[in-house]
Amino acid sequence: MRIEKKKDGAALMVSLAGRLDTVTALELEAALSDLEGVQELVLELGALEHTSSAGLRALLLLHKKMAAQGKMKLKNVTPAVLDVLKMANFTKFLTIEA
Amino acid sequence: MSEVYSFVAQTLADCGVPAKYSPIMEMAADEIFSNITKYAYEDDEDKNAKDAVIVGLTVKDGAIELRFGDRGIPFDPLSFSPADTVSGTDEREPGGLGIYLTRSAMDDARYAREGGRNVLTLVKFIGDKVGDKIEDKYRR
Repeated sequence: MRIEKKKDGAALMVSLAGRLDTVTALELEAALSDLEGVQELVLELGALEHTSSAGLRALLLLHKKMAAQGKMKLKNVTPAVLDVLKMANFTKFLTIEA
Repeated sequence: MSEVYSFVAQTLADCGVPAKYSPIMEMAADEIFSNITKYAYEDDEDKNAKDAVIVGLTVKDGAIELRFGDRGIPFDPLSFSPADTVSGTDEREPGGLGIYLTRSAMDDARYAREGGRNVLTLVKFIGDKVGDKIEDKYRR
């Protein structure tokens, strides 16, 4: 998986490409372990092919962290990833933008 | 893990399964394989044994069958209560989500304890296109 970060003041844009699985979810958690001062986290998922439950867990952790200090949104979610988010009912609390 | 992915992807391709089924089968492999490596063995020596986890894949009669076998603690993942997908984020208990997603993505799942091994079989129907191809081969 490829993780690219772009910081713009208090906003952090993170692009993910590839897939979120047991191994890469840990990479994502490590890459975003320090979110100090970030008030808006945007996950650009247009190139994320798939996610497993480990990826969902990472998204849930990020969501909780950001709920305490700002907001988080997912952009350009692919159909395969959206299916998984729906199945797990994550669409209920995540902010998803086209 | 990457070894399991390439085995699944390569075998599906070799069997002529359309590429669109590959990600979903690889994700199922990720869920089950990681559960086995995390929970099946208490002892590191058993865990690292060559036959600790055996993954098999068959394509026949318009279906993909992905099998996992381990010598670990007897455990039927299909008996696991469904993951909590209703509660708010604060009340949610971790775990069970992988099994839930895998079962939702598959058309059938079977568990058996056979000769001291846990054997889990996941089935995904892919229609009869691949089956037709095999039939063509036989006709020739």
